[in-house]
Amino acid sequence: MRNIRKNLVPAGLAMTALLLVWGLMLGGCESESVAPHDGNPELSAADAANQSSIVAMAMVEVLPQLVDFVPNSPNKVIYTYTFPLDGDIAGSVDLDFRIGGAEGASATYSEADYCHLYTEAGDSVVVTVEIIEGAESHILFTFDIMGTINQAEDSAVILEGSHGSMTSGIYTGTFAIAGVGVAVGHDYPDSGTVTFTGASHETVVTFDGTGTAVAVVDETDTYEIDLDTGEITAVDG
Amino acid sequence: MRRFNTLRTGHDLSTIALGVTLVLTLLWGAGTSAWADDDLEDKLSQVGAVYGEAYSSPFIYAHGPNQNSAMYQSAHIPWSGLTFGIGVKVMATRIKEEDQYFQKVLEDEDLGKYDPDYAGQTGDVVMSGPTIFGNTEQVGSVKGYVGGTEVFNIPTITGLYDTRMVPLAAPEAYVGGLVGLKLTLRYFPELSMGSYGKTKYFGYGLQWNINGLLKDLPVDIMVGFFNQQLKVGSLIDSNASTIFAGVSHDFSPVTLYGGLAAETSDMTVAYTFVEEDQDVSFEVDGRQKSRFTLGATLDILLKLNLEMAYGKMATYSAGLMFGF
Repeated sequence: MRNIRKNLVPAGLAMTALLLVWGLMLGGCESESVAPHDGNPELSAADAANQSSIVAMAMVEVLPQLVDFVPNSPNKVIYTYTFPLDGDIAGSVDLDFRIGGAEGASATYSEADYCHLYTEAGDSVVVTVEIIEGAESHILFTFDIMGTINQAEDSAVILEGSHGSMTSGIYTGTFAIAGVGVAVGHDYPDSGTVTFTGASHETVVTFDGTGTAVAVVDETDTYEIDLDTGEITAVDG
Repeated sequence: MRRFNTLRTGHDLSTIALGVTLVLTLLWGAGTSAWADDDLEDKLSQVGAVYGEAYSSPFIYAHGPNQNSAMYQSAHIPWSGLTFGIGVKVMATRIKEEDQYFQKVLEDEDLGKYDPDYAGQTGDVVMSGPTIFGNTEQVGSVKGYVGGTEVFNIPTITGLYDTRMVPLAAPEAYVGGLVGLKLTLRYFPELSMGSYGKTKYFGYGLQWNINGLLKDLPVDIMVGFFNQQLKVGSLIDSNASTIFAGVSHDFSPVTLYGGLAAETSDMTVAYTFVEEDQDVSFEVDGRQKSRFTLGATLDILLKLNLEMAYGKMATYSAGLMFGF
């Protein structure tokens, strides 16, 4: 009897230890990480200004649709505008025209005093730019833009709360539009700002109706943007 | 403490014969199975050195701990009488889930190295995607950036096997019993892998049990070392070395054992980057320099052991040894 007891205790300890080994195996002690997990390259102020120049160029192409849009079917509830194949933007946006403001009744494009321009969920438009001579880059945009329309003056003002996003590979930024004015026959936005936030920088782009917009990065670095080419030029002081 | 100093003919011989048969079967299976390395070379040949090293990193850093695992099943070695065994050890190192994916960033690079259209243009390169043990459906990429915008996106390769356990198997034999010494060998016969080359695996080590000098110890204590080299064709050349101290106690039929070890390993990977007809070679030193081991051996007719080792990597091993 004593011998049986003498063997049971160490055997029990042994089995307990065996179960401990199994438990560790099943529980899965964690190894250290061994694969590289480098963070995204940090962007400089000039890089942020470059990104915002592409946003500004997209605004020049897209926002005027609130007043320039001519549908091929005049009496739809929600229109779809597809950008021309030979242009720098590819894809479609939807336009929801209303009379009596955002909560008003659906209206045709020629009688509306309000428009909601947007990309459908999961969709984006592609803006093609030439960052390097001879080589094109393709940047994805989404839009959610609201504006009031003045039919008499063929103009529109983008309302605060309008926003969108820009994605270029690993970099994604968002932009907010405030008070940007567009009009038929005007090549560039007359006024207003777009605030672009991306890669730890905040850039405010201001339009003045000319082909040059001003971008201020982090309230510190100022650049001029050529709205036709996207080229940026640092401004001293 | 048990003594294995008698050969019980008939029973022991049949057990050994069974063990040899099983080991040979495993060797045949390992030789004819779809070795990862043929597919691995196919994958690596599509990428350059930087991508290849990042992609292979979980395999490279897990391989050394695997090789240096399962060195013993007990610290007991008889001081008189023969001890002999043959069998197989299998090991697997568990990688972190995040290591099934990688991102490697190179800043201020000449983008022309990746896309001739950008020759002379400086930018940032981001290499990312599944590692060798990542998603086998997802394709990785090499992307170039200028001014915060993506200027090129080159698709690369998928993962090879979607797993977090990096395996290795090692046939092993030992002989000992003279003044507490035991010689251990790991050996894989040279196998031709066609145009890929030959596979060779050889390792040797010596263990010494001190209980012959310190007879009243309540546990068995052993020290030892092991060196090994594994070559897989011209693709992989790995070396591993370890020195260790182990302790065990017999709770028949179970033996508990544990120990500490210091270890080193390195691996050289060489292949041809087909697109540029460029020979690629990189050598990486293993990161694990020490480990703690805990295991248990069940000895009934044959010895089955399970063990876990932990250093910078967590490695699990099992062994099946036939002998006496």
